Amino acid sequence: MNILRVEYAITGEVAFLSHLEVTKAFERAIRRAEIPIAFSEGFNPHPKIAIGAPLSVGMAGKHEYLDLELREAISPVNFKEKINTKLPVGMEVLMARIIPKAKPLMAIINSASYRVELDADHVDIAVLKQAVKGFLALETFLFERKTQKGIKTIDVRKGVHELKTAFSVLNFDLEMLLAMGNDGNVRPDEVALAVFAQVEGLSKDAIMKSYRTGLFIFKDGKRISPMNFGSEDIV
Amino acid sequence: MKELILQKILSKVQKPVRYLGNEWNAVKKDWHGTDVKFCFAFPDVYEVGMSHLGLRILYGLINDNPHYLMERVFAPWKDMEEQLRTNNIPLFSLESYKPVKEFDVLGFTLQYELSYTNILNMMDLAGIPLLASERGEDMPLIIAGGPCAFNPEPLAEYIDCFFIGEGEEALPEALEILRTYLKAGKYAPKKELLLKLAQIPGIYVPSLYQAHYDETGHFVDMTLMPDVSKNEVPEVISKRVVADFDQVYFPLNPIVPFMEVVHDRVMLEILRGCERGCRFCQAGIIYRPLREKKLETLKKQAKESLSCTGYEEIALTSLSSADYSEISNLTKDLVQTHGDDKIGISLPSLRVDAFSVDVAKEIQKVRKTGLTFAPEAGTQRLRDVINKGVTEEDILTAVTSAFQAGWHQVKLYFMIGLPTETEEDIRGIAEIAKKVVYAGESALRARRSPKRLKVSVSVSCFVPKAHTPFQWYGQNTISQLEEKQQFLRSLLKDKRIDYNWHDAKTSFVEAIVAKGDRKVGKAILSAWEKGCKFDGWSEFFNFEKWMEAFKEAGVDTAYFANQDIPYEVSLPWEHISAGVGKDWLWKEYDKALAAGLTPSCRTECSACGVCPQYDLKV
Repeated sequence: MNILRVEYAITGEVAFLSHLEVTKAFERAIRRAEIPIAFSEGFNPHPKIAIGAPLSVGMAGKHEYLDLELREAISPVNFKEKINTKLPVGMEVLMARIIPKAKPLMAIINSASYRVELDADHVDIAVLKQAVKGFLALETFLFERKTQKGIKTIDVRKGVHELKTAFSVLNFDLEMLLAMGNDGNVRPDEVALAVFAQVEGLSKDAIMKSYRTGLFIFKDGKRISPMNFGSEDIV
Repeated sequence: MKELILQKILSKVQKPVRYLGNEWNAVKKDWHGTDVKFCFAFPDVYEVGMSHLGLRILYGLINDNPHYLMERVFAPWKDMEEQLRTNNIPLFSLESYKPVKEFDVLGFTLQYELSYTNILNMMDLAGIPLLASERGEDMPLIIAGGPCAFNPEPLAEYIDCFFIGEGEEALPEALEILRTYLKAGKYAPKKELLLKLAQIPGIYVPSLYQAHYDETGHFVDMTLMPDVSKNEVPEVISKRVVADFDQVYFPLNPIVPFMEVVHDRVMLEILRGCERGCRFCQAGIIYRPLREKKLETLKKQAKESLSCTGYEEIALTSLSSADYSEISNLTKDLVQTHGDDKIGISLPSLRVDAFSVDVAKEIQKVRKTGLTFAPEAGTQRLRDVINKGVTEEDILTAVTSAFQAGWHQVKLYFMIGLPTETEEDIRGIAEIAKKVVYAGESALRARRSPKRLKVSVSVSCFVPKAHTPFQWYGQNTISQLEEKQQFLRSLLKDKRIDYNWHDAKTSFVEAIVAKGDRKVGKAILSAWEKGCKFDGWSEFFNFEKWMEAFKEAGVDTAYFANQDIPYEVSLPWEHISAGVGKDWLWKEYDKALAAGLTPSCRTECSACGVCPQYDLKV
């Protein structure tokens, strides 16, 4: 069995694609690049591609992961070169590696890192730092999330593994590592609002955009990339 | 800039992917490096419009020419429209997000009558005056083509010129003329340009013609405007036909949408036209004569298209795919060549016979697709009236073959409201459905299938169309149709049968527009002003508003939809020719009423007139 683990980015307009649309776009690029992908059995065979974690519609992802099963082995470098010439604008493969049969990405990924860019005109960095400090000192912070089935109460604090402020050229940002999957599911905007709630003077309007910067296995306080996994991940 | 605004709006609308552009194979050319900028407008949402084969063909054809540029625009959904209007953003093209108003030409495809209010709405959103007479040279030229252009009159006051028939040759000819005018500045004067365009075979410029009405306000005649000479512009406009269909332009690298669209696959056009001559079918007449592509051409086009797109399915598209002379060889070859890549092959529009099932079995080797048959009428007598040469034995043999070969689901299409229809014919539909269920049950039982049988019966309301033998026939009234639908429903109460029917009121409005004249055109404007749009979508169609619009425009709805037309009356579309003689159509109508059969073109020519006119042979 040949499994290729792929690290890729979804940026620009393609961030508006749904999970299924991203999968389909990859499937077609794979065909165009003539990558020898394996197919499932049955009446409607489909290419064996498994995306690690769905990305919200409208959100970009700088380091996303998927696994592909191949009919025959190919070199990861060859794969990356070929597929990048056939992917639509905004989708790019960053890295690929052959891995032995492993636990599915969806099962091992339990955390995601995000960057929330804030408008420097609406944010005082000292106030922001104080807000972050205040938030991290809390034990819990409950938030009411509107879902299709009604209101769900989320403990935002419990889902935050790491949180800090950062600078980029034009803004102040919040960088965070949040729980994802079975361990809980917290959204970056929810964390930002929870942080803002610690002080006066920071409102929702300060948030310019949020995007995912990585997916990880968070274990014993450390973050491990899905690309570097150990023997315990082998099936 | 605009992109930034859109980033803000895109997160507020449903399915933002409709408005993104930048799909694989989308072409963004240098605006200033091309002479003619054409915007193709499909008057429905992205996912419907991107399935249109005509768009794929013209997009490739026009963009391949270094002097021209083609971009696309689709009807924005209600929520997007609200955003555009609130934020004062004019309708823009997908490729470069340029306001549609800045293009030199805006071309609409007329696929179905109920899309007309969308056309007006899109023009309004673009900031373009709706009436052709109110548009100056600073506005794009508004053109339209497609099947409904064969009765262009309802849109005559809004469109500058119509393209009748196939566009692969006519459109580049028109753009070339436009190019010479544009080189000298914005095409001035417009009247001179239109006169030049009207001289291209197949192009109809409505402003050069005038409609005449009698004292009761009914259409009586269409003549050239007094200042237009018949030596310059034809009194009758004949459709364009591509003579060498095998070598006609075919788009090998169509856009691959991100979104799931209605036809999400390579569309390989194998055949154009149809030899069957079913009397209700407009497509069968307007695409005459039948022309095929060579097997080798298709094999090459299939291979290229698949490798340029990465699609996982290929559809062998035509009006009657099993009639392609090499269909077995083609499907066998495609399965053999592309089977390992698990490329599915779909065959829409199958004939109702066992041969079709054999062909379908071949493609099942790769991937399962649905099976649809269209008996259209419930009794042999009525099937003979419409010239659908299919017997009950054919139907049962075909479905039995299908069930034995592995299908457990089959869809059957019928129409109600056909000429000479009686209660017995409606009963016939139910009887066929039941026989199909019995055949299905025994076949599934015989091969011990665990799957449950499902027979879908889809029944639409017959709408008489221009240029068919039934163009003189008046549609059943709404209450007649609804009564028939209820009656059929009472006969089809079976859990194994899934019965779908189409709204009779929608079909009524469709019928009025299908045989409408310029007065009906005024009602369409009024309907739009009242808020009508997306009329083909049941959640939007507003019958009361349409009836108000017809009333205010003085349109006698029963006259257009339900009245039988005598032979002597001039039809509002008579100045447009589909290549078949009016007397031939009337002969077919007469024959229909006596349930007489006309054999297929390739079996025996019935002298419809199209082949000699275009110097072609079937």
